[in-house]
Amino acid sequence: MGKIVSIHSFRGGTGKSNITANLAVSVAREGNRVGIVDTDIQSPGIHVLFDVDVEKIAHPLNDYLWGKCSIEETALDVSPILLDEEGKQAAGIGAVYLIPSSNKTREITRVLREGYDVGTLNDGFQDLIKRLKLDYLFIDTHPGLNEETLLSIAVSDILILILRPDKQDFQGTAVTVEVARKLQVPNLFLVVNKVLQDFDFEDVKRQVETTYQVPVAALLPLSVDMVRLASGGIFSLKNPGHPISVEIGKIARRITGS
Amino acid sequence: MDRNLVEMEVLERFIFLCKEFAAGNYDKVNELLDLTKEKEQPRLISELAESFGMMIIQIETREFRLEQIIEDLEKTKKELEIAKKKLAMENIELKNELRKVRIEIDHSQKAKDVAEITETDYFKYLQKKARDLKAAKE
Repeated sequence: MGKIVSIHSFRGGTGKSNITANLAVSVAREGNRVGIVDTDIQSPGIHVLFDVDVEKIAHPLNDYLWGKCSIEETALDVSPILLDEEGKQAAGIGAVYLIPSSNKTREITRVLREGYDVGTLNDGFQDLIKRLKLDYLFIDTHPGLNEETLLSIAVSDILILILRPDKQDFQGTAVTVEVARKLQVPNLFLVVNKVLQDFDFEDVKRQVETTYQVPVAALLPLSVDMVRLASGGIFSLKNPGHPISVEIGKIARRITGS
Repeated sequence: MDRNLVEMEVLERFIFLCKEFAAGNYDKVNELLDLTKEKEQPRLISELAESFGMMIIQIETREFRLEQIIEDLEKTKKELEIAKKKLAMENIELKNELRKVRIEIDHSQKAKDVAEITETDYFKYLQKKARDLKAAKE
């Protein structure tokens, strides 16, 4: 049975989509079959990292939610376009399927206006795992704690919360951790992203773990390289030796070891 | 004096000088240059001495250039060592100055926010769903 891994943050701008894409690919490189669902329907974006033109695809996730197609019809096999640092097809990948959301304003406003049955979304997750024989299904959630995000958390085997070391993220993460506990998520990890280099990393890790009583899987430094290359492909594939890629690898091993 | 004997003596002198040069003693180079005087020496010996003389000059020039490079490198190495020590000191100072994070949670606000989410029917439905899913997996 495949595992559901939700990547979430209380606020936007934490680098959630970027970390999701890199983690999913990192887990796939261990020979696993992975899927990535962009449930950030209101502000989709993960497709950009995979260089997918959503306007040209036959069925975004929205079509499945409106009952226009089956869930597997929304899945794009992106493994062939994953290139390593030498521009060759990345080796060792089991499979990577992307389920993108529509970026058409009309489709986004329809979701906001009419909403949809979140139960359908859950059925979609389960069907994706079964029909595509997935080992891991990654869910890139919408920030905050709306209904679909709560559903994603509820059905997760692993929940990774991303936060930046700032006041608002600390407060929002406290709420999210409490909610996740009430939903009895089996594995909960924190990832502190965009940590300024002049911070004492060990001290940040210790304090975060003490405050939330949740293990910190990684602390990622604020990286100019990552910012420069954001939205320009999968960072860890193109820069395998970079400290951020090394940390991503550690989180991936936490996921596969869970 | 016998011509052959003279040539032998000159050659022996030549061999002695070569050994000196091989050992890095170039101060006898003038003696070698004396052997290049055509009128005093057989032609082959003077030509040979001239070739050797040229060789010694080139070797000496190269060695001088290499000594200069080594001198420069040693100077740079010393400068680098000083810079390295300075950097290590600065790193120690920086490490001592690393910023500490301060995590403050407003617990009453948190409790209010959590209750707002968890006291809804939808959340209760999700809790049941999560329990059912886990039971199904087990």
